[in-house]
Amino acid sequence: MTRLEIAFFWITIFAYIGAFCLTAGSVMKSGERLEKIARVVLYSALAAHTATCIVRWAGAGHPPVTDTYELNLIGTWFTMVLFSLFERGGRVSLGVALPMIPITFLILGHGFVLRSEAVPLGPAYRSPWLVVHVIFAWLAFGSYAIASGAAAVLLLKLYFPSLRPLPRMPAAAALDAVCYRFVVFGFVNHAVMIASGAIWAKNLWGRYWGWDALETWSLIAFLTYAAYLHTRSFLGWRMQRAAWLATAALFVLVVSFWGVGWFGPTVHPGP
Amino acid sequence: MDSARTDLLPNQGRPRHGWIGGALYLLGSGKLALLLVAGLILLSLLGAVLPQQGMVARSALEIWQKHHPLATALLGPPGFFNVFRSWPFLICVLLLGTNTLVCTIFRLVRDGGIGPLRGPGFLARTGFVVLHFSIVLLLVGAFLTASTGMHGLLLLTEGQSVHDTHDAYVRFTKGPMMLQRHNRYSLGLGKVTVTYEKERYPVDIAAVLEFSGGSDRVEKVVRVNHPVRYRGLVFTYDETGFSPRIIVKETKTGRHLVDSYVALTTHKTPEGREYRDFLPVPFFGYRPMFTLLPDHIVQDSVAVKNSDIPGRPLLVLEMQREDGSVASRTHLPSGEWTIIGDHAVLFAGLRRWASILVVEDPGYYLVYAALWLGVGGLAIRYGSEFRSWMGASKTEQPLESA
Repeated sequence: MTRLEIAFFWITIFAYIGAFCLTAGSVMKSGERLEKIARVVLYSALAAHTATCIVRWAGAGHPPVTDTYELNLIGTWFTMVLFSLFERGGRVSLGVALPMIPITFLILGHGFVLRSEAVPLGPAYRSPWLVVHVIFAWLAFGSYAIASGAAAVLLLKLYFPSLRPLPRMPAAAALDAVCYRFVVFGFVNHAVMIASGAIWAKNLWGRYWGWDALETWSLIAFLTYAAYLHTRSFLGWRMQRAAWLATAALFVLVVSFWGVGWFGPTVHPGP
Repeated sequence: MDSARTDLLPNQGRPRHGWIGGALYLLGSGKLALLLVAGLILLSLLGAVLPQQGMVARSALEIWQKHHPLATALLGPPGFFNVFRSWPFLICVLLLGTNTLVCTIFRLVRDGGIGPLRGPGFLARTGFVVLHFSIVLLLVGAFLTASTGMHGLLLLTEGQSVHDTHDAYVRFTKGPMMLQRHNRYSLGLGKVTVTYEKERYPVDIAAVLEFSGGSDRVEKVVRVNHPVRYRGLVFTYDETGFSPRIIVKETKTGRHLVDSYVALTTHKTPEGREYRDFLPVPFFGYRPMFTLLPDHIVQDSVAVKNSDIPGRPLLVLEMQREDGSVASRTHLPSGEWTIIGDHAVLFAGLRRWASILVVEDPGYYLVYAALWLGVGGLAIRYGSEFRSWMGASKTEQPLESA
């Protein structure tokens, strides 16, 4: 890591902490001015985050997609960009950032602990499918993270309705709708990620699916979100049931991303 | 829509046309789909958590089973240690395929065929049909590959050639309904080229493949991520390593005991790659372990690897006892005979080996078409819904209301 990259990284971390505190304050006090400041700090954090990614990219000579640090860096960036875009468009409340920022912060910290020297891309990564696979993976995971953020707020609102600052958060039905829409968006991107990964695997390993540990976990996550969509359609699940399922699905997704090594060998270099 | 059709619809009450209608109703029901998806999640979880045959070494699986007798007794008989080929998994997949097909047909029937799909909700309904059709197509493609395809692994050293026979493959599996047998090609491995960046990191690996079949002779370059095709077979670059030529002869008689290129296994360690293997011959009652340093330097009288790029190669011969301890270590510089007891050993040259995957995959195009059709179906199914959400102004869809 270069000094510049380390500097941007820490600015990102502290800016996210500031954004979290200000968002919490704005939700509690319902102050419009505080909300505006929180938004500015959040966007500043995102700008510093973008700069960290760019410096890393320039240093490594390839997109930051090869090791845990790079994947965590770019993954959290996608998540926060998606959130900011939808928040700015008025589709998600700023309050949903309350569970999301700490998660982003933890993921960045986890990557930083495992950071390694930037190395050239190996032959296996020199495929046009790499970019497609990674972009859609992070669009999917980012969407699912937002969906889970909405689900977490929804569950808190349902179980602790009078707890501050929950009464000031959007209505439960609106949070349920946000959760559903982001699951749908994530699901479509997840499908592209699996399809592009299968094509890449066919070129690299001679088969599109090999029941490797990471592939299996990715399929489990995909099926769990498929179950979420089907329970809404066929069983009419809404609100807390759907929110619990979205939360469980995120747990599977987290295992599929960070926990694969616990259960079995994988040919994927992965995080 | 006529009444007979209406009676079979999954969401319009129970069918009234006997057991066939009932069975179809059940087969196409959304609740069955949910049950099957839940079953597949559960079985996949077992596959992800339990050690699986073919994924872990047989010995590791046996050790696990020895330490978990109860789990082995419960999960072994249904085949959960090879869960993705077990009958519960295959039944789930078969039922899900049938369910998806019947469900898609129901939708088409309910909507009166493809033509009347037009109208309100056209995109969502079309997307549903396309998506579910793609799942059926995917399963058909996967079935074709599993039943009529083949998957083999060839290991060749530069300059070596093999003919397509069963014994030529290091590993070979084929579908039970595969019709075509061997003898389709001969393959020679030409020059293997590894390109490095910063003198350390391999960034491209390519090899020249020389195919011949009958009067046909073709040369193709296969590289990592870029497989080549020949006579319906796909040749994919798998791994590469070094094959030093090792000659062992008796000093008294001059008789050659070994004279061949020995493909050393490439071990990836945190410190980098190591190239080593045993020579499968007893040597003074020891196990001879050869380690190659493609380019070496001497530090404090010890030869250490300097680079993976062949420069000053050195072969290190360790005589190992049965318990793995080292009895002696000898350095074999390239081109110099070294006397060990009554034997002379020569490191006579260095080539690369490459392992090539040979795959016949008849379901390939169906699977690919299904993948993109599925993605397209999803986009059509949910795209309009998402667009209307994004298109609505903040006042039309306030966050505080549903």
